[in-house]
Amino acid sequence: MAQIVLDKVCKRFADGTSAVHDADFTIEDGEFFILVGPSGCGKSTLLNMIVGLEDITEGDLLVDGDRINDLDPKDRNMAMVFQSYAIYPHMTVRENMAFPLKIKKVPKDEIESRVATAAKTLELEELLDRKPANLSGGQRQRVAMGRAIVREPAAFLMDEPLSNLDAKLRVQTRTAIAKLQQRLGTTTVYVTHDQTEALTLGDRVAVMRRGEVQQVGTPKELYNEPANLFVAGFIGSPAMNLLPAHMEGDQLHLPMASFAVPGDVQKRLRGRTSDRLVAGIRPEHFEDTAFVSDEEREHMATFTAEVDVIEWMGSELYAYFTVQTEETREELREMAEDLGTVDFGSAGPQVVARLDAGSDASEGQEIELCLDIDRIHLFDAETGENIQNPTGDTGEVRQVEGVSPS
Amino acid sequence: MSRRRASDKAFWAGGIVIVVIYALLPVAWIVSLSLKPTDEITNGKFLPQHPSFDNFSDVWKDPQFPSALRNSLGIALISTLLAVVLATFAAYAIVRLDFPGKTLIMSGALAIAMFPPVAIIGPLFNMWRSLHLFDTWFGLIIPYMTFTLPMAIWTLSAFFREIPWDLDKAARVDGATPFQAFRKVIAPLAAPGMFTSAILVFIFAWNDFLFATALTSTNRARTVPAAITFFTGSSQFDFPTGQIAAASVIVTIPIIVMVLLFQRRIVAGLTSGAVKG
Repeated sequence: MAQIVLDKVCKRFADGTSAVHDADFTIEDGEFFILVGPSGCGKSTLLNMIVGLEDITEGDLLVDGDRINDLDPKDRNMAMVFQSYAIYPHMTVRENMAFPLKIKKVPKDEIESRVATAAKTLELEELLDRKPANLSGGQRQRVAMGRAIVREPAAFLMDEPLSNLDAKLRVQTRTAIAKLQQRLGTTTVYVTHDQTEALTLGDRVAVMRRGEVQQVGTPKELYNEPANLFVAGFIGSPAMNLLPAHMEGDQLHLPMASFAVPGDVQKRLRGRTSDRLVAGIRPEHFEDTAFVSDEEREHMATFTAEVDVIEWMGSELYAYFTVQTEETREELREMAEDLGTVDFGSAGPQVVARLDAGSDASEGQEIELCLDIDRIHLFDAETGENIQNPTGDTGEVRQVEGVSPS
Repeated sequence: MSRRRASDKAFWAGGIVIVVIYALLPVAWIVSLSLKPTDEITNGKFLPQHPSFDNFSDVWKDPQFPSALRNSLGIALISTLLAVVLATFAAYAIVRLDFPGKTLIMSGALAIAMFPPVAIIGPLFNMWRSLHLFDTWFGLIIPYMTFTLPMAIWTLSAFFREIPWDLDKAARVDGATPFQAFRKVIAPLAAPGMFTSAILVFIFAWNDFLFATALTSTNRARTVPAAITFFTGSSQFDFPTGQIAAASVIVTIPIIVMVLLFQRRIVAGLTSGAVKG
């Protein structure tokens, strides 16, 4: 049981590259906390700093109020599950699980009973005398978990523990981990690059990009109130559609439609020097006009689009279409690079809409769609900051000098 | 297809037979010589007509042979132990730590391995005499260690490189000190590599003739290969071929035993070190 506080933690490597910059958040006792971000964002480095495998260049790491920056990993009483599992190949499953206890010189009979309990929890009882070479991937993963839980540590640290499993097993194990964590109530820090894992497992999630924490919040907050463009693009599957936009008078111009925005939004937007905006629309905020009542349509902008690709999932339907626009946002391309999402072979930005499964949209056909104006996020293209957050509190928008908000 | 396989088989079987004969013929010849009485030595026949163990008992009666055997065993074992222990630490550090001069150490080690030992015999002889290392066990252990360390370091670092770093980290997080992590997790996994290098070092030290003749002068430290050359026949005109052959057979036995004992580990070691899995 432990509360972990990161106070402006930084990591710079000897060659000057900065891997983590000013990580500043608190992981509460018993919380399931996720570090998520694309590869190379510094999430694993941050985890290694918490467990003590990497030195902290700057800042403080506090566990239950004690600064442990310089504490050796062996004295931190944290258990780690590695992506490669790192179970000891020359030991049996039993010996693997007993290893941390043996090192701690726990009495023999206690080791036995704790290993037996953990083995029962993880259904490893029949494998106890096997060597890791004779285990399947899922079994190895459970052994790694077992080695962590026998110690009854202050915190579990998991570094992409599911990424070496096949898709089906991954989903099963994900649920199992969530249940296990709930039952044990041990503070858990979990690193993943998969936003689905982050949303489904986490009590709270920290999204990282290029060594910087972008936003810390519950999965709901991240999804509904992304603090910036990156979080908006990263969280959610399919991803939020991000399109170049600009204001003219009270009209917001999107590539496919223009419409008037409410007064308070206008007021907020007028203070910006930059006219370069990015509009963020989640796929579920589009709908086939045929399924929208007249009353609902009042809050919606209607447009037609030619569907490129249809993905029919049974319960819902994804329609992909391309929009034409003169505007470009360099920032979006840069972000796509970070996320590894390459959009090839399309003339303009591609948009995905989630439609009712009964929609008769078909590939190559024009369809009339409408989008929910009230649910559009607006981001400043330069800073990436969310300046119009439809569902949550946008907070004070920084005003730029020389421009008076009218 | 099956014909092709049959001819393949014949080819490899034939090849193996040739290699085995090529390798074992001299050994068989030595064994045969060692069993021949003195008057049969030059008769040119492969098999001894009246085999006897006289040569062997003569060898054991020679006062210098038992002490030479003792020296050989002691020196070879100590050299092996020291070389493997030092090489293990060195290789582990080279693979796991990042420090300036890492590649210099590795290439320096290689350079030493390529250095002709005979070139340092003269200076070593003088140095050892003034350092009072001449004709001592350590006078031989030091050069054996030096010349086998590079090979041991290279072999072992190949092994360590194969061991995932996550295992060190896991052990550290599991509560082990760096040394415990090394001793309980890494060293057992590198055991095949350690056996491989141990055997190679042992064979080098056991077989060495150059240093053994140049740096020893009495039974205090003279090893078997050097001692054999000091065998005397029954008369001044009588060359002790039979005894030399018998001594050679005797000194080959420990090597054969060791190799057979560790054979499986060596094979696993040589391949797993060389090929990245």
